[in-house]
Amino acid sequence: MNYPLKNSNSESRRREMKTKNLISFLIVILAIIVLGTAPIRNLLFNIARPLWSGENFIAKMIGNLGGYLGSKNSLIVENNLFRENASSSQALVALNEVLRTENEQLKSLLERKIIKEQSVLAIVLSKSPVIAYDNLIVDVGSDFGVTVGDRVVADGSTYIGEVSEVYAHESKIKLYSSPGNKLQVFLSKNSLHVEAEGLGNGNFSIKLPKEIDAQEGDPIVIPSISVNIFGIIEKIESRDKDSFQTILFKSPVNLAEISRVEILINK
Amino acid sequence: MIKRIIYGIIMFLFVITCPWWLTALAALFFLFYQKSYFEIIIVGFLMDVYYGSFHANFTWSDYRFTLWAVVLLVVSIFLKKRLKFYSE
Repeated sequence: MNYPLKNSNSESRRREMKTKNLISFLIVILAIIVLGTAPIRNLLFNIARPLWSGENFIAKMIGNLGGYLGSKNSLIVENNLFRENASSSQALVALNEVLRTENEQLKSLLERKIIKEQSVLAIVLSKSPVIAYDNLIVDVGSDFGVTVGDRVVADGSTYIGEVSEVYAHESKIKLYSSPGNKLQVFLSKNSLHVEAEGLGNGNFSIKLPKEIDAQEGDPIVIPSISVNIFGIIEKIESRDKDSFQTILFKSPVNLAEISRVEILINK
Repeated sequence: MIKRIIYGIIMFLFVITCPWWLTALAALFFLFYQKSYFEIIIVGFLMDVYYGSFHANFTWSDYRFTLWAVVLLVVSIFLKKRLKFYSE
């Protein structure tokens, strides 16, 4: 009888490959364990920081380049539009300031102490859509006294998220709009505390009985003694059969264009 | 070996500077370009470290890129065994 001879060469090569693959796999597992430790994560953020800062600089430069390339007429039209918007915004800002002062005076009359929180201005290093999670990475960390749980505001009075991780010179902010994230909000028009769910990218939803009167454009705030605005109702969805309505609202801050935020330091 | 290190540096730069979907495409390219690309798991883990949220209580969704990398690696090993292109 004849038997095919085993090719010892290919057999040994296969065995060698298997050993190589096993070693590579073990190295990968070891690398993941090492990368997961806090000091190495800190080091990784330190390495990435100059690149993120550079990226912001490049993005700004490209943005400015667009301005140079734009036609003169369109720039004039745009400029006029901005001027009109700016004058109407100035009036609103002034009114807002008057109302804010009045609000604080009324609260002090009622002997409610207004806690003036210390805040730190932070520059956004990385944000959506660069990142798949609804997080921001900012350039201040434990060096500025930032701690996990500190609230983050944008545009002066809009709560957008909380600090979730703190490194030596950077922090990670988890946005309230992270998909599945739930938080208590206040429908100021109806004086109602409700639970809102994050849908990602600054969008939220609330489920409420149909009897509750809510309309598009109504403001939504975060329960707090300080004046704030959290979102504005964009759409209300309801079907005849359902006894509930779904309220979709959006943060007034455009998260895609956010470049600076304020971190309210908890003392 | 030097090639692998260069590819590693390229992927690291992708993780830091590029949108996640571009990084995912580059990782997919290297996954099929190289014979065995275990580094994809490190790439996925780095994306989770940089951009994910680490909580005290473990949840799988915080490691979505690592999990996807493992799945893609397993699928690529399975495919490479069956594709003529990768046979010696």
